[in-house]
Amino acid sequence: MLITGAYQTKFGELWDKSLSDLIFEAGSNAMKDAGVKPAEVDLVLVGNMLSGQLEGQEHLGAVAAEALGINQAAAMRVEAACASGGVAVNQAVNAIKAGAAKTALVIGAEKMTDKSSGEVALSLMGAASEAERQAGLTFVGLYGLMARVYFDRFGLKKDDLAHVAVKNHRHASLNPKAQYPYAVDLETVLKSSCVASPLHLFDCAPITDGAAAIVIQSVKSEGRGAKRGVAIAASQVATDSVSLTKRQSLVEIGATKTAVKKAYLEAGVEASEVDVAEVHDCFSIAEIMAVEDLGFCKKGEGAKAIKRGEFDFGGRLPVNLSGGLKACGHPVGATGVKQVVELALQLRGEAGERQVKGAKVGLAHNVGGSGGTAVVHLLKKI
Amino acid sequence: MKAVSVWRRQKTNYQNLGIVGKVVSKTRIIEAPQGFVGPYWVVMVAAPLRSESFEGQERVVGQWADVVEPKIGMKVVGVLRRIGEAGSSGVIEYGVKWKQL
Repeated sequence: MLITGAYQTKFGELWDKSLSDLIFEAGSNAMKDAGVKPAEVDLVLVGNMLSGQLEGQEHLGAVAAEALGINQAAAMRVEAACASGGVAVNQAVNAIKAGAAKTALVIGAEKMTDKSSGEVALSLMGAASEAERQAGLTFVGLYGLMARVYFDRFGLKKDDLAHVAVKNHRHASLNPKAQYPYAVDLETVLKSSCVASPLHLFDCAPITDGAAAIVIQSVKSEGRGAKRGVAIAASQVATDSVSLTKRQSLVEIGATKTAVKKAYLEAGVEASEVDVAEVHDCFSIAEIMAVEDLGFCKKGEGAKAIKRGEFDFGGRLPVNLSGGLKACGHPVGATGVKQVVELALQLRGEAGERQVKGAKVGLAHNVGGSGGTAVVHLLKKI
Repeated sequence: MKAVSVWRRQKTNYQNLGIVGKVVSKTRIIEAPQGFVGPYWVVMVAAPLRSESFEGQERVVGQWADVVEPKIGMKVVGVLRRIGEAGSSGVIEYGVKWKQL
């Protein structure tokens, strides 16, 4: 199974673009990249979380099909909180495996900046449990609760988190499509205001507009994209309790560990063979737990490894070269697809200034809620 | 929120009333979601299980309702407090917050 087309819009506060504009830009350019005409697409999946609450539009599959002139295909929206994009990719893979589709267009899109941060924070809490909403928690607060336990268990301090933001902003400075394409220093990160203790502004991904799209085709397909395609070697989704209080451990995301274990098995790949990764750094503590849960380093060693530069561009395993959610931006439903787009560019050798030389295996890791859903994709250069 | 929703939630809102536990995590919410006014503390409390079908403890989350700052390991008790504003239905919702024992 191949990714034959890939495209990401600019991420940011895109006041002049509607959700439909973003869907059209991403979808049409991914099809163009693949050399696929609208009539050839037989499945359209749109990863999106908040269009109903923020835009008053729930029927996104049909909206996307209309905007793109795709008249005969099955089209629908896929929702799994911030993992909506990753799960949409997974569902397209499963449809092609089952023989229900030959050419799938997967679009991840979100329009968030038309609303106030309080309204968006409340809407995002739709991915949390009722008890967490009643307590007045936010997602920053939920990850703040995890960070506090992690700090106590592994002797971490607030300052240790700052290296995640510094790294990801440095990477974003090489990505013109990032929301914040500039570097920041340690002092700026440390001086930022508190949002939910112990997490500060620069520990948090921003509110973002944006879209990304890929075309997935069976290996038998032909066309411009197939000749430089990237193989999907594994696509796995796992779940855990939505409620943070019901998790076995508060210093890891159990769903990530389940999904990645299945993905490594499916692809016949080990963690040590991954050349480039995009992980779900919605908050700095999330990236620290992710690099551990994905097997890139031992539990409790993530912050030290990031500080040592092991996951920098030029390090042993570059992580979040797009800038991650922190600096590339986090239009929630688009993020899981954007991660796959970034890896496709890397494996094709088309990532420009941030290209990892000789990259052959890429891993994308997308999380929904505070860890209720996790998606892992492994891609291989062919 | 409709009155019937508040009424239905009373079945679970009071189940931690008078329960004694200890703080296992905490966060001070500065940027609050719509409907709340920050800053305020939210604590995660480990408390004895109410169900007889399990052993050990379970965790719950709730707002902090004491003048002292919550600390990890602090012994706490669930107390009755107002947990929401009167919405269009005019019904004020009550539930459990936590304070030092």
